[in-house]
Amino acid sequence: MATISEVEFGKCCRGLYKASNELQDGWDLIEPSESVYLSKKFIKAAPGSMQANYQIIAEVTTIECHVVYSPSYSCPVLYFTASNSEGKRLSLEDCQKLISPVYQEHLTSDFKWSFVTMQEHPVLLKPFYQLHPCHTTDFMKPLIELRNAKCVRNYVFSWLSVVLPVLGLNFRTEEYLVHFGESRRDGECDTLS
Amino acid sequence: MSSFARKLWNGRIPACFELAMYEVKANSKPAPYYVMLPRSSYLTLFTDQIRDFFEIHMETGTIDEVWFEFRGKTLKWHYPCGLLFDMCCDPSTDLPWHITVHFQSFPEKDIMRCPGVDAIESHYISVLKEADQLKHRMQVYSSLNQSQHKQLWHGLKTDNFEEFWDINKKFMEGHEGTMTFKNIPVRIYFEKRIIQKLFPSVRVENDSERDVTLHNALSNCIPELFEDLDRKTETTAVLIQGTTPPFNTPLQWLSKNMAYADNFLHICVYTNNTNS
Repeated sequence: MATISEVEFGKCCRGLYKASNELQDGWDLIEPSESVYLSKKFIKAAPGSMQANYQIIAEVTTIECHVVYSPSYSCPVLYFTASNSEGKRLSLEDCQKLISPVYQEHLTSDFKWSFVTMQEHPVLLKPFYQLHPCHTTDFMKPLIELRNAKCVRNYVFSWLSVVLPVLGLNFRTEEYLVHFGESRRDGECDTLS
Repeated sequence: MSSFARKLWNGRIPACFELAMYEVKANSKPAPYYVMLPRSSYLTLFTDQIRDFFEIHMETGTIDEVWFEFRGKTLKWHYPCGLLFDMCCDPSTDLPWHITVHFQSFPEKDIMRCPGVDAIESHYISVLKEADQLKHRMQVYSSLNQSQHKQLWHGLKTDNFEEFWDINKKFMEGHEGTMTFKNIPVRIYFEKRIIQKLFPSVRVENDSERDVTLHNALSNCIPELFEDLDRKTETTAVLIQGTTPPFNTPLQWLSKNMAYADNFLHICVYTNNTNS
């Protein structure tokens, strides 16, 4: 299992925040006390029907993501809230629908209660949804391969590139790669795309 | 298991549940409902009996999910009852614990929804897994089968000491054949923050191994209050399971004897100017 220390996590967050500022990607760095976390609001529009050459937007969902360090699992954990265009919070069932089809199998049977759950945000102490870290690591193998290939040195960057797509969210992996000055050699980093 | 464990298990908080007056349909105030709350239990495990008791006083169609409040403060059901009491009550004046029951306007931005007993079980298991990740890299939890997981929860839910400890004793064994846990699951509640750090059970000082004590943990997390014990003012209070252990108590001992059913040591810290 790929783990990271709290100090290294802080450094990676600062690195990612700096890169995000330059790429205007919208990540915020929040430092309430000793702890640090990253946050960003995503707007997800579900396409509706086509009418006279205009695409009708059926539904707009705002997803606020926070990347918070877990000392127990020694890794970042994704906390999020989601709301519809009227500002109403999405239920757990609706949030589970946000999960990309590739990972839907995790939501069946016994996994349903442990993959996406409602948890208290460890810094804000308010209810958030959480992608459970012990399942996240299940599909973190590409990340470990990446680290082995020494393609990317910022753990939080690599982690985001794997975890955000689980929620069907876009991460500008290629642009960050260029920013970090990481050379991408054929065959080594394919898992990123 | 220690006799300490049984004493703690038998620790109860007398609670008096009353319906929020403005939610009552009649002019007369319904009688309160009394429960002896086990310290390691969860408030929402009592929701069904409380709802049954008060429901007749409510207008039909006005009932949302039940939630609880104490002196204007929303109570977080996902903290064990004993921790909630230690966080917001003074046992010399606040017994029985007067809790207001609400059937309307669920504060969903402040507390988690609790759609049923499954949600409480799921929450309990996730905290237990985190504790075991710290104590044994989750090896104990993973070695148990489904029916043992169920037995643990059932023992807690039904307040059955033997049934619960028959499984929970496995979580009290040392890590990989040693006498101690890899890390001690500790959460410190101070000034509207929860502080969680990695604490191994022993540390090396001058080439010799020493127990990590309660004082080590507190001074690491809140140095401004605990770094200099001689200077410690009487205005600081530390509560674990409603009591104040000596500061030189090893964390390992506390974890084995004074953890909650979720295997965490929940430690409340107050100063005179903290009004939490």
